[in-house]
Amino acid sequence: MTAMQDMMKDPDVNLVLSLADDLLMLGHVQGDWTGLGPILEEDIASSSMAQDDLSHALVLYEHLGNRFGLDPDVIAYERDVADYRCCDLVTMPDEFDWSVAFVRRWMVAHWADPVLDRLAMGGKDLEDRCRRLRAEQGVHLSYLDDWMRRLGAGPAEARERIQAALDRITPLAGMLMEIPGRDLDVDEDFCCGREELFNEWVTAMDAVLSGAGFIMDITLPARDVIGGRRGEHAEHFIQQHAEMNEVRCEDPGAAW
Amino acid sequence: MSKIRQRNFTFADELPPHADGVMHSYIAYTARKDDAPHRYAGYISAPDISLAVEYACEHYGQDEECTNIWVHLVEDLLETPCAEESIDPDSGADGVDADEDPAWVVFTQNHRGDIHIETATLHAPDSKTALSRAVARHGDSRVQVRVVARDRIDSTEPDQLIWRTHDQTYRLARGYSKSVRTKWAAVRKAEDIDEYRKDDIENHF
Repeated sequence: MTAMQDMMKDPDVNLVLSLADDLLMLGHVQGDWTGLGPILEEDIASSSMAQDDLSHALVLYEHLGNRFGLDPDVIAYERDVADYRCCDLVTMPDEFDWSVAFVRRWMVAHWADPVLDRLAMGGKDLEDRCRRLRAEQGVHLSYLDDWMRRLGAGPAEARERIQAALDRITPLAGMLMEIPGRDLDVDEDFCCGREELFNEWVTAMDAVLSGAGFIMDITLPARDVIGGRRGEHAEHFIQQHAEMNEVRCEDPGAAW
Repeated sequence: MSKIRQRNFTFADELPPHADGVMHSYIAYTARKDDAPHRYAGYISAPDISLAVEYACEHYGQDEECTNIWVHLVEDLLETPCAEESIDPDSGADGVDADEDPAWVVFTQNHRGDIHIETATLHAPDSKTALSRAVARHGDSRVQVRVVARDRIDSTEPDQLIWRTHDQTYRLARGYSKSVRTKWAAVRKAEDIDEYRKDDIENHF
């Protein structure tokens, strides 16, 4: 059995990979906005945070790499599509609608916050890494919360566009809570309580939304609904994955 | 840009609209360490000062390690003309600072092209008096002196995380590093690399 197969069979890995893969793909997708942000400084800020997301994924891949004797880049790029644990929300096409891109980032940042808390209980190395990442994801969260409040207090067009984005994304966002493994009873333990995590996530988002005047109706999907976290990815993930790996496939070990 | 997304993307219809509202120009400064002077970083365009601080964190705060950021409106600045050699300190008039007067932060520039660095704080009743005192006290060997009312400067919170603690090397341009050259050398002739490097530097710098 290869080191990669060893890693993928370890249920401890699932939640780490879920977050790492979410951040990797979100950073990749959000990078598409570089040069196209609504104003220059917002463009720079969102690109900076997309870079953060990529490097936060790297920090988590390094943890797994050290544990299983794998190069972090190999973990990031050389797994089969079905071995990616990301939620397909992160690769859902935003069709260059800033409100959709923004609401997605905001929801994922709110999800990452309690997940990093839980991952920090996974031993000293992971605790050290997650403590740093939580502080830095906290910067994103604070920034995005601030923007959500601003948009809520903004003109009618801003409020309508954000509400429309929430309405579009919310039905998909619950899948962030999908149990990332095939053995539901075993793997749910490693998520430290899916319902508890869901409630914590929704409560934190509601606190911001209610202050901003937005409404979100989100439900926890049934635990046997299968999606990206269990390897059943949408076509848009498969396309993004292929594009992300293009250089890697052409020139393994490429560096600059 | 993603090739996948290009398929469903028509620039004329889908580009985000320009932001409405009034944008203001701000100047941002960064401090490399606690208690280190704030150094000019650059301009920020934002609708209000608190967002300008947030933008400055993501823009200039990631250029180099820093622990604090200051931001103020461009029009809150009063400055001397930039001198050829050095300002004559006698062109200013010193006076006695009264604590009850507003505080003014003094920024100075040592040579043309240098950045402005926080130099001192003084108290004065108005901006002209503040600049005059700043020139008298700090003009020597400087080409420009600026003053900004301290209460017009917004800043990051104490202990606020600005500079990221993870490996930042991926963010920073490392063109023509040894590793890049080694990579290129595997697929191109040395003279081609030198020629490309020469052209590229000429085009970009």
